[in-house]
Amino acid sequence: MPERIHDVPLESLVSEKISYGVVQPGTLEVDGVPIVRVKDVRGGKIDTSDPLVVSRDVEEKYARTRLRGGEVLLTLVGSVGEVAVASEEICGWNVARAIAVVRPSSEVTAQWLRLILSSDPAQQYFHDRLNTTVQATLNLKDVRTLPVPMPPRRERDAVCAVVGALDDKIAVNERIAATYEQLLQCRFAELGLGDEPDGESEIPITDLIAFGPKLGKPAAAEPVYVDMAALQTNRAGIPSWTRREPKSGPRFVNGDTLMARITPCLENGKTGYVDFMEDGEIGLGSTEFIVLRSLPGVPSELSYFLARDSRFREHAIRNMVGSSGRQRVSAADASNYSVRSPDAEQLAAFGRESSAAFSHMKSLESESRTLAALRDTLLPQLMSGRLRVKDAEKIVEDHV
Amino acid sequence: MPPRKKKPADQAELFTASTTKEIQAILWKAADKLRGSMDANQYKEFVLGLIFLKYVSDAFEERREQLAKELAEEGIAEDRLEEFLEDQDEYTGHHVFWVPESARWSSISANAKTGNVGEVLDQAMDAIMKANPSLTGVLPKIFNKDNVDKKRLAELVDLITDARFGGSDDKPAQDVLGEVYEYFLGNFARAEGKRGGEFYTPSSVVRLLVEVLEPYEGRVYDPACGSGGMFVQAAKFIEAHRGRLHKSDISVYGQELNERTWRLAKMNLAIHGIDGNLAARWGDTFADDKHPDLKADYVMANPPFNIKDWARNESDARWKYGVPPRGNANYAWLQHMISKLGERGTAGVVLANGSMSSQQSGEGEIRQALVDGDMVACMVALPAQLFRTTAIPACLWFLAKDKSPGGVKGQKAAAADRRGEILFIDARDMGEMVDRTERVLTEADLKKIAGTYHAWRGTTSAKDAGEPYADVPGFCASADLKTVQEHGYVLTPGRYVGAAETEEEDAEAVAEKISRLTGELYELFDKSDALGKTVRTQLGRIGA
Repeated sequence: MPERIHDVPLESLVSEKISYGVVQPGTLEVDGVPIVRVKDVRGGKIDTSDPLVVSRDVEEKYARTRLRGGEVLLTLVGSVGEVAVASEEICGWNVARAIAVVRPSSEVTAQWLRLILSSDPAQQYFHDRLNTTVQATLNLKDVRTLPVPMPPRRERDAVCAVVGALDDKIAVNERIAATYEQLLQCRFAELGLGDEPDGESEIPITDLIAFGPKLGKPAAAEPVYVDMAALQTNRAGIPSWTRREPKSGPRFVNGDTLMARITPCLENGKTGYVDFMEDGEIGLGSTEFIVLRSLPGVPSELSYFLARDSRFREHAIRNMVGSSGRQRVSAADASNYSVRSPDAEQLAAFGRESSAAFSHMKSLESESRTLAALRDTLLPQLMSGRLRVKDAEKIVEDHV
Repeated sequence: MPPRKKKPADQAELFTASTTKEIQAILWKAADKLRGSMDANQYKEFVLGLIFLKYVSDAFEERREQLAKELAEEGIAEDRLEEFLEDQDEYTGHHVFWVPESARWSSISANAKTGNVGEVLDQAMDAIMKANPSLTGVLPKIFNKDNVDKKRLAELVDLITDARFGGSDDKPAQDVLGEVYEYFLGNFARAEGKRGGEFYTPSSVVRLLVEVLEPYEGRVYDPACGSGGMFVQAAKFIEAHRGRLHKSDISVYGQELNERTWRLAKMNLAIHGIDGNLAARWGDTFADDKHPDLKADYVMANPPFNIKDWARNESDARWKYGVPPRGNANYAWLQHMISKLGERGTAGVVLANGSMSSQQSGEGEIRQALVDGDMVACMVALPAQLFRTTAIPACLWFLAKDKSPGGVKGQKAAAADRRGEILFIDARDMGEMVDRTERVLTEADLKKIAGTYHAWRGTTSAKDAGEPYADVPGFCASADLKTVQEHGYVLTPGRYVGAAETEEEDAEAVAEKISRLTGELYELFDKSDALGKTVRTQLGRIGA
């Protein structure tokens, strides 16, 4: 029979009082201390590429939340409830006002707390206590009182090992996709389409790719719909879509590339490659997309890599017009662009390689989706003790 | 509430502050504290009115001391001194306002403590206006109203009394106070947010207009002059390049629609010692042009963007290039300014980006007529976030009446022949952020943009610098009218300047990168396989 698991409040499991970071970042500094903001914490990871930097004098006042590595960070405002563990890499950084710093005591690991905080029951607990008057905000008081299940240490470690394996697999899938993208961008560069064309070999891009090609009405009563939020700035994959009654908007089929045409989405590089529908199925997208489709005989992925190419993107951004803050580029202006004519054989090779990579990425993406679903289902069961990890000691030994 | 006996700490700091910058910052902080519940728009009149009063008084005292010295040197007897010191002509002849005894700051600050401070101030304003006809109707008489918190007002007077405007620096009071006045204008514009844009243009943008137009001498006109920032920068430019005494080489003409802003402008010019003609009253430039016969050498303006309801008269003689649409006054402003340009006149105008490409309601045709009429000299696309008060991206239009070699005002040597050409400058990547929301153009940016224009135009200042003009991909291009026609008369610089040359990765580097990435990919595959096994093992261990 499982032993009864006792819940203890989170605040009894920390080495220092849970608190939040820099309230007034003040003016921008080049030579200062980087701080982690809410937008930097996503999907269990901390994006360290573009932190806000505050002056040393300001940071000094918030020494209590200065990171040493190994803290659990929890977002408190806006997209509340994102959780990540601070790595050694960001030792010496600080956090913004909207992030809570939880320093685990010797009794518990950061991994366990991360699992608990990101689990459905904890998320629900936070959600029930949100103050949503202006912007969704979570009070520290409610974070401190969160009940944390504390099965024996070896069981906690075993659960971490199981869930950790799933997370690691998801992470490595993501890295494979990132590497594919970079690799294929290099291959695209080899084709010479990214270079300034010179006279003889110059062709209009419309010899290779159609911009906003015509398509019939979707047959389904509720066709696939992709909105702007679904496009990513650095990946081909379109992670989410919905179905809804058909409205006006650009139409697309598998193999098409969707590219944002409006400020700031175009500048940010929101672009996606469609490969998730049935063959012949027609989907609809935001009116702020331009659909790019490779002409027959041209690899469909070529359109995607053109849309990611820096020379083409600069061209599109330069041709944005509009009187308000919302500037956009038209499909006609975007297609008014010429490239060096690629070598036919090289182009075919690019097609073979990119198509293999894209189908692999697609399978990895669906694998990751399944892994994530599995993790989210298992976690509450394991934490509550309703499901147990067999021979927990042994697993931990294996793992260590 | 803490006791109010002690002076606030900020005020104490004023005694130790030495640089003008410090004084400005401390003073702003202290003044802002005293604002209480009053909104920035209203408070502005109080503070700027007081600063102006202090300036008038300080300048007067300065002149008085100087005069006393002069008189002593001339050997005027002590008992006759007073007679000379109270001679109005000795002041007005030196561009100093005559300040009657009751309006001098020393008497104001003494009376502010004992009497009714509001009454004292209103009377002082009145006395100064009576003694100086040029200030009639300009100074605010708002201090003695019921809704004014007299206690805070007295504190504000105290605060301004303590600030050492006259200064330890060798600067005269006028300069220090002028800078304080401008600093406060800028801060009020920020505090007012969106509406602040009406009276304030960021100084780096104004400076860019001035550096391009080089208004050394002649008539300078701003049909939407706000608080007069363009004129102040123009005067500063002349001072920097030609010296203090040349300020009067330009004469200044302006018009402003808003009464309060018009007052601010009058005070701003007075405080900077600029004689300007801002008309006897405020007024609408379209319905009631205050300078109907003016032929200006330089027009500089930041008119309000995309104004919808404006006084439109279809048969107005100013619409030489086409009647501007009812729904947008951008092209009305441009044509109004062109109508004011004298021979060889040039104009620099800040407008919303839409003006470069709009096709609605006949705007495309007007733009075409302007281009075909060879009125456009240069277009500059500005970076975002220069204007804290509006998110609308902006551009600069430079118009020129005469683009021939002899067309540069005040220049004897021949310039370049730029008839039938337009210079396009894409400055969108320039500037640096001073905080999270506001960008400014740096000294180097201003130099680069203005330098490019002068090199292209072949003006003396470019010849002095010895830099010939050349197109720079991604930054500037000179296009002939045919090219502009091909682009459908869209004047967005990005279309003409092309892409910046990027350092081409040589084939070797790409090949190396590919082999590195391939290696990484294979390692990841191995790891993925191993992890797949781990996942199987781990999941296999879960049981009820």
